[in-house]
Amino acid sequence: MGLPGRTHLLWVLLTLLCTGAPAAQNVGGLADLSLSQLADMPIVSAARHEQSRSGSPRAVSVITAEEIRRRNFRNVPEAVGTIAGVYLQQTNYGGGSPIIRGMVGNRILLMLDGVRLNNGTFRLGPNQYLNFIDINQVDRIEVVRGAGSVLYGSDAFGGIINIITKAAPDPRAGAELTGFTRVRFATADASGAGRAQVAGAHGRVGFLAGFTHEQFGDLKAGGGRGVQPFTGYGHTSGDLRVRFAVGGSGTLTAGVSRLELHDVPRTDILAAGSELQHLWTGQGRDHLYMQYEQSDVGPLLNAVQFTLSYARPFESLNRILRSAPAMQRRHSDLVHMLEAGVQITTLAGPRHVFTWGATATNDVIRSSRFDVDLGTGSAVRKSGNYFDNSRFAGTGLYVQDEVRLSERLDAVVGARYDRFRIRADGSDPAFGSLALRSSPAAVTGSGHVLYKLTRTLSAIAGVSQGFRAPNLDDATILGGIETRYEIPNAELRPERSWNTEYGVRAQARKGTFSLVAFRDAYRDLIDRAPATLNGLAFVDRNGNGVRDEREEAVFQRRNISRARVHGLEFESILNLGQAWTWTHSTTWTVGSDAGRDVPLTRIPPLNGASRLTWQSGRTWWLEGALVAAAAQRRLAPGDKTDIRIGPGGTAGYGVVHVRAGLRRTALAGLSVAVENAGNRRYRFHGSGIDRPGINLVVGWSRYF
Amino acid sequence: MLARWAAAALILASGPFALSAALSSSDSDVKAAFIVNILRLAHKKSGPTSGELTLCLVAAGSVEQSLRAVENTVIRGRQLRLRNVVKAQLAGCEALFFGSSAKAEAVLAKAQQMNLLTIGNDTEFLSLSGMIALLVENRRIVVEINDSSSRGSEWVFSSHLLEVARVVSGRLR
Repeated sequence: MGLPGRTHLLWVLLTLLCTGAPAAQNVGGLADLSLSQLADMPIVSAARHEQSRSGSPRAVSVITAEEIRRRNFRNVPEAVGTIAGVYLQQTNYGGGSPIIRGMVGNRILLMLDGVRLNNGTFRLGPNQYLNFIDINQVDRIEVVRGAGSVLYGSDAFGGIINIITKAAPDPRAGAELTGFTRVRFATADASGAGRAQVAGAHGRVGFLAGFTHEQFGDLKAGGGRGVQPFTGYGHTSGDLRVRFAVGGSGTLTAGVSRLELHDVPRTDILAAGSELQHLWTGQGRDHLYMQYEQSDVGPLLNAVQFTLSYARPFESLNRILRSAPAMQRRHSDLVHMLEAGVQITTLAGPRHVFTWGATATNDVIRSSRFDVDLGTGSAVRKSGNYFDNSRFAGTGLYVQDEVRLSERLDAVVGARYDRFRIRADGSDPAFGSLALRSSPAAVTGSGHVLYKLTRTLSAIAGVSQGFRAPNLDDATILGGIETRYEIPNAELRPERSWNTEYGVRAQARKGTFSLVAFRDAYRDLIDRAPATLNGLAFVDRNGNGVRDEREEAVFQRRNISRARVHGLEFESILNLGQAWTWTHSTTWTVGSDAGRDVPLTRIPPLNGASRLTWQSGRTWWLEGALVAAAAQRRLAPGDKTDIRIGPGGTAGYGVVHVRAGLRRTALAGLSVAVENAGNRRYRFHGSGIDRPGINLVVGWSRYF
Repeated sequence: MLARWAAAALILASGPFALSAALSSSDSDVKAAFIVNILRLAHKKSGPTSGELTLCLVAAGSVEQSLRAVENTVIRGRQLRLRNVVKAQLAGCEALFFGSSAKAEAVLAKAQQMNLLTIGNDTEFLSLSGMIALLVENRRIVVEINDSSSRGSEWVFSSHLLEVARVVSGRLR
């Protein structure tokens, strides 16, 4: 008796998916294979990151746990800023925004353990959100330079920074209990920091818990400039991760963390005097997440990873404008970020590894502002930075194939579809009521190849498309800011890019090097453009039809800009005998606003770093580093009026750091650094603060 | 009719996926197979040539389960035995596998003094002076040998192992 058509289909599907346990080769069979055969065998793991980058056709840089421990970084932005191809911009000491291939702010995707930090309120220009992660929790940092929208979606435009935190111990590895305390002191900012951490495993459960507190004083610059006011702040954070062994190959990880930065001033605005107060009394992030990973689930499901995350970034900002010294504006913004994702890895024959999956995000914004009369103490509620309860949601589907085309040629190709929904309801006296609904979508693709020229030398080449979906900060801003009045735009489209890169990479006994050239073309970039409201180019508050002194000009965000960025990235590690290692990186970037034929804003100067390290056995190590950048005089029109840059641009610099470490025993370690040994005055391009002058940094760790 | 065509198309399209089931193995299985192969292709200059070959395990995690499946395999005429290391007691070990470098340093130092073959599982292992690391790169396992550590030891690697492995020197990578 024939089965109905639908039943046929169902039967075939069930047969394919439920044929019992996968017929994987057993270990005994594998052990009979030769090393060459084993080396050619594709394997799967649920995580997106790999341990070694030299086989990747992408331009990837990494800071390992070892480097993070040795160099005793103050925070995550400072660590990321030392990675080849990344330049750090600092508006204030409590911030730090990475620039990759000329892109900054919401055109860089920040991720924590594969979960997005970017949300619907990330603004154009530099932001401080990378400092919402405690460096003490970090195991390694991976930077993918260039667009990565196929795997990571919106905002993966100039690059992706993925912070991977320390995992709780694997309970399958046996029972254990470990921990450490660490302190760090520095002279330039009169800072003190401490971290206590304990980790253990028993039965089928492993855990890791830690607590950090840091206090930074005002930062002293070099060259006789002295202490920079409005730079000090505090930091407190705590984290707990629990790992459960589920069955033979399943792992469930649950984590909760809170980080808060206290009393963070915005240095550039306060130093310029345009505001009497600009202070984040509290800003940070709460995070709760669960991740389940399992390998060998079924024939099509060689590895599966489910992620469910809830994050709550928050900012409480107090401002007093010089023009209204008796009024304090108290802003409060909080985002409820929900993210869910599934990623599946499928082996298809000996040559193909498919990574495919879906993600969904939903950001709901709570935003408010109270204007407090400092004389009477009375408070008046005003519209916040965003419409309260506005929403930014997205869904994405993607597939990527890592294919071995021949013994010498590997390729990675992929495609992705994303759709977003923006919803905002509110009103403004000059504009009237607003009910904004927008549903932008994007399709992207990419292809990269790696060709092994010799055993040690490879060539890489690739083309990728990137996109950034318009978010709440682009589409829904309504109201006056100083002399400008912005109106929303529901018609915004995603910003788009075509990124090409090619280069060579070598890994040999004596060291490694990588040279990558890139050429990126951006279109539909969102920028402010003059607009009209009720037929007028200004807000006619008194209705007289002419622009009076305090009436603002009307602007609207539109897809009006195009840009071109190209450059070179070089990095190398040379092992000079048994004890000496020389590490070097240089990055050169040129960017142009293609529509106006002027330089693109905030393009870093030619910059690089060289480090010579000596290590004797396990006990001692010593390192000298030269960090240098040329002057940046090629400025965008907006750079010249930016108080962080000015018409003269940024001076070049060359500073020397000296670091040493002593591992007295396997259980105790001391590190000492003299940073900016020449006490030079310098600042990173586009920053609101000078870098520290001569700075003695001492770190001490005790393990148990 | 349409459903039958769809079913046929699905079966054809699934060909490579069905094939993959026979070829796929977890990374811990492949790593275990690599370890067995490395033990076949490495020998100690003045080491024993008979009796049991003891591979000791430090926090081996999921690789231990895979290795248990090949325990008793005969390698160069010697039977492979596995033993978990407790409190850094390395007497009787000839080779050591570290599932994680997190707590490897003290045991590694002792292993180096005792001239044991050390095999690790992550990038940090070689910077801690481990001898051989099994790394995931481009969805494949890559063998890296620390030139500095292996030169100073009594272990000799066959040309076949050196042909497949990547030899690196120095501690920083």
